[in-house]
Amino acid sequence: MAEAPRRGQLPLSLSMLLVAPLVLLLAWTFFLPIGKLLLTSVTEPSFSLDNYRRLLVEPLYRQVIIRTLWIALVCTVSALLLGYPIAALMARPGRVAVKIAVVCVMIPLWTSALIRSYAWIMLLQRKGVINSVLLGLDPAAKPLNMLYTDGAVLMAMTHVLLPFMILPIASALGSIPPDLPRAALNLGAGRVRTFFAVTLPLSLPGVFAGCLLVFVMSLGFYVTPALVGGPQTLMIATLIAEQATTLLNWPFAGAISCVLLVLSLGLTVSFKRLLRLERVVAHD
Amino acid sequence: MTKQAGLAEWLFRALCALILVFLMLPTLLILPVSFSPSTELAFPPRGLSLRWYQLFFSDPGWVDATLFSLGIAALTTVCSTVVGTMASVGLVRGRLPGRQTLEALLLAPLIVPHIIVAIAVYLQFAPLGLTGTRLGFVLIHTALAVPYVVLVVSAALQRLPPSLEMAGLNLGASRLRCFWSITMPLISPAILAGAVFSALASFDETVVSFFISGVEHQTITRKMFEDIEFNVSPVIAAASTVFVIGTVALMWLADTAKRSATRRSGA
Amino acid sequence: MNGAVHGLEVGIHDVWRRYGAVTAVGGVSLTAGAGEFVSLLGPSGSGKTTLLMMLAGFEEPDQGRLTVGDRDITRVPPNKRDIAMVFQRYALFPHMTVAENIAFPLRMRRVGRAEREERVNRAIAMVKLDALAGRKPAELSGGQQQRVALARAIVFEPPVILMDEPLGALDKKLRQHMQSELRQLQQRLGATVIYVTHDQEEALTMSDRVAVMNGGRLVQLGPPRELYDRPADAFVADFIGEMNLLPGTLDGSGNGGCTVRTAAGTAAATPSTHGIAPGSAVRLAIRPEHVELVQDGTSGLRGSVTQCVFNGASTAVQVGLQGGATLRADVGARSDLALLRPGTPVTASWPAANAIAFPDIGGTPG
Repeated sequence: MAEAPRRGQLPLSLSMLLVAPLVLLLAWTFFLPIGKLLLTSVTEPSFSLDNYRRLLVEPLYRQVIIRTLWIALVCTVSALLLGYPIAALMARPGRVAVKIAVVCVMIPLWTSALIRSYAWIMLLQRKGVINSVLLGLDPAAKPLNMLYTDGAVLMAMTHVLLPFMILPIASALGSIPPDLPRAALNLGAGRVRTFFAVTLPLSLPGVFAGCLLVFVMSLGFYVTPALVGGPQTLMIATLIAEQATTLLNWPFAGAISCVLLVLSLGLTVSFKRLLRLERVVAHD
Repeated sequence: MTKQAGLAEWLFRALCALILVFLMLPTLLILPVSFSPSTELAFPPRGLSLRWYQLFFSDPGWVDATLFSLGIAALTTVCSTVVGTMASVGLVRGRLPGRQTLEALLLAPLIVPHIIVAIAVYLQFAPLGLTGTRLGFVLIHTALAVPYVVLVVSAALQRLPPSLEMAGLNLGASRLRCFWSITMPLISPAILAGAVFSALASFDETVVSFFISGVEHQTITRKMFEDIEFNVSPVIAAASTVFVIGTVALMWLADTAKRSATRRSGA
Repeated sequence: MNGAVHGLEVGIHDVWRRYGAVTAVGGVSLTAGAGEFVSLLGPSGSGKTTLLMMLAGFEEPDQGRLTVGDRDITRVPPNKRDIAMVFQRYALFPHMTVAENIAFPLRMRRVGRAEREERVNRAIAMVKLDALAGRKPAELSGGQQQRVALARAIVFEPPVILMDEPLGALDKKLRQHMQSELRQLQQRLGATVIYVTHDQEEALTMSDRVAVMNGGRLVQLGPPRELYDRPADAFVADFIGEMNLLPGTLDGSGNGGCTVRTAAGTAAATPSTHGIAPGSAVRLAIRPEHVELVQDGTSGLRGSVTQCVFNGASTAVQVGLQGGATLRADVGARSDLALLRPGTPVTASWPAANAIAFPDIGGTPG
C-alpha cells in the first residue's frame, strides 16, 4: 500500500501548531529582513540594477570577488591536503592515536573563530610569537611582516575551517566496511594500490561534502578576514561590512549580499545530498 | 616489504603529527601569553603573572559583557530547544504538506553567511529599537541556533519506532503524556546535544552580535572583537583561555550527561 | 484482578478503507461474541492488519462502524477506547523496567500505588515472569519480551485485546508453547481477542472462529473445523492446511454429488455451489489425508509414484498423474504404501463427500 499514511501520525492542525513558532520566528527575524535587504538592492537609489552593474564592472569590486573566490579555492585545497591524513588517522582501529586526533580536531572546533583568529594575530604580529622566536635565534634579523596579508588570511582560514573538512571525510572513511580493503590485500594489491583503488574512491562522498562545506564557508567568512586581513585583502564579507557601516551604502551592500547569497545557496542546493549536514553536526 | 611499509607508516605518522600541531598550536599558545607579566607580547614569556586574569575578573567592562552573553546564551538555549523540539516533532511525526521544502528552509540559517544576516537584521531591528536589547539578541540568536536543535532532534525522532508512541496511546495515555513519558526520555540525549550546540552558537556568535550591539549592552564577542582590533593586550588571552576551558568543560559535562541518559533509556 | 474479566462483543459493520485506488478493506462485517477468540487470517496485503489498526483507533474507516459492547467507537481516539493491543515487535518502552512498563496503563488510569503494585505482580505471575520485574527490556530474550507485552495488555483488565502477529518473531517450539499459553490465558480472563496472523496453523489451533481475508474482503468466517472441511472457495481451500487442487471439468451431478473428469480419469466430488453447468471448468479439492491409494487398482485417477517423503507421523506420497498434475497422499508412516518405490503405478480415489469441486474462475492459487 504505497499511499498508506504512516501510522501514529499527528493530525494536520497539531502538526502546524507545533511548527508554527519556528516558522514565525524565522520568517520575521530571518527571511523578512534578508528579503527587504535584497529588495533595497534593486529599488534604491533607483529602481534598477545599477548596484549590480557597479559591483561587476568596477575593477576594485571585481578584484574583491576574484580574490575571495581564489582564497576560498586555495583554502579548500589546503584543507583537503591537510585534512585527509587526519581523517584517515581517525578512521583507524587503533585507540590512542584516534583519541588524540579527535581531541586535536574537536577543541579547535569548539573554540570560537574569534579566539582562533586572535591566536593567529598573536602568532603573526610584528611583535608576535613567530617573530619573537626568530629574533631570539638571530637578534639582528628584521621582523617579518606577516599579518594583514593574503597569506595570513589563507593560513588562518585554513586553520579555522580544517575541522569542517576532516569530519565529513572521517565519517565517510569510517563507514567503509573493513572487509573491503582486506579483500583487496587478499587479492594481491599492495597497501598503496589498495588505498587508491578502494579506500579513496569510497571516501569521495565525504571529500565532496567537506570541500563544499569549506568552500561555501570561506566565501562568506567575516571574522577571520576582518581581524587577520587588512585593507589590502578585502573580501566579499568585509566589503559588505565596509559598505554597510563605514559608507552607509545599504543598497550596495545588499547587492553584494545578493551575489554572495546566490553563490552560497546555489552551490549548496546543487549538491544538497552531498552535504548531509546532520552528520557533521551530530558528530560528537 | 615490511621495512618499506614501516617507513611509509612512520612518514604518515610524522605528517599527521605536524598537522595536529598546526591544529592545536594557535589555541595552545594563548595560554602562555595570558600569563605574561607585561603588555608586550613577548615569547617566550618572561615570567608568570596572574594580572591579566585578575583584570578580566574585576574590570566591569569585561564582567558585564561576559554576564550579558551568558544570559543571552541561557535564554537562547531554552527558547531554541523548546521551539526546535516542537518543530521536530511536528515535522517528523506530523502530516505536513511540503515537508521537505519546509525542512530545507528551516536549515537556511546554517547556510546563509552571518554577515548578510547581520546587516539585514540590523536594518530590521534598528527602527524598532531592538538593537542592543536582550530581546533582540535572544530573537536572532534563537533563529540562528534552532537549526542545530532541529537537525539533531529530528534524527533521533526518526530512529524512534512509532509503535512505542502508539503503544502509549493504546494503553490510555494522552498525546501529551505520551510525549512526556515516552518520547522525551528516549530523545533526551539528542535534546541535550541540541541545547549544548545552541548555547555555544549563541555565546560564540560574533558577526551579528557585533552589528546589533548597543551602547549599554555589549556581547563579550563584540568587546573582544573591538579590543583585538584596537588594543591587543594580553587580557584578551586571559579571557580566551577562560572561555576555551569553559567550553571544553561544558562539552565534557554534556558528553557525560548524554551517555548516562542513553544508558537510562535502555539503548 | 480476580481472573474473571468480562469480555465485550466486538462489532465490525460494513467497514471500508481505501488508499487512493487501492481498497485495503472492502465492506467487511463480522461480530466477535463476548469472550470469543477470533483470528483474522490472510496473506500480506489482505487487509487484516488495517482492520486491526482501525479497531485500535490508529486508522479511521472511510465507511462503516466499529462497536465494542453497545458503544460506538468509530471516532473515539485511540487512548480512550479501553482496548489493549499487543504489537508485532512488542513496543516495550526501553527506558522503563518490566514493572514500570506493566504499570503504565494503571498509572494512566490513576490507580493508587498499593493497588498498582498488587495488580502488576499478579500480571507478572500470570505470564510467569517473576524475578524479572526490575530488568529493562533490552536485557530480556524475545520470548520474555513477548510476555511483558502481554502482561502490560492484560493488567488493566480490558474487555477486548487485539494482537498483531505477536508470536511471529519466536522460534517454532516456543511459538507452539506460547500459542497454548495465550489461549489458556484468554479463556481464564474471558476477554474477547482479535488475533491477526498469516499462519493458518496458528489460527486453527487457537481460535473459536477464523475470519479468512483476501484482497481486503472477508472470504469466510467460521469455526476452524468448518473452514478445514468445508472451505467456501478455492482460495480458502488452498490457504488452510494442505490441499490438492486438480483442474478438471464437471461431468454429471446427482444426489448432492458429482463426478469430475480429469486427464487422469474421473473422480467423485461434492459441488461447492448449486448450478455449476456440466462441462464447465472446475477445480477438484481433496485433502492429502483423504486420498486412498491402491497399488494395482482399477478405478479412480491413474498415475505413478514419484517420491515418498517421510514427515515423522506420516509419509507424503507424491503421485504424478497421467496428464501431468501432481497429487499428494498422506499415509501412515507404518503403512505399506509408505514404502512404495518411485515408478509404481497406483490409482487414487475417495468418497464424494471428501472432495469439493469449485468453479474454476481462473487465477486461483494452484
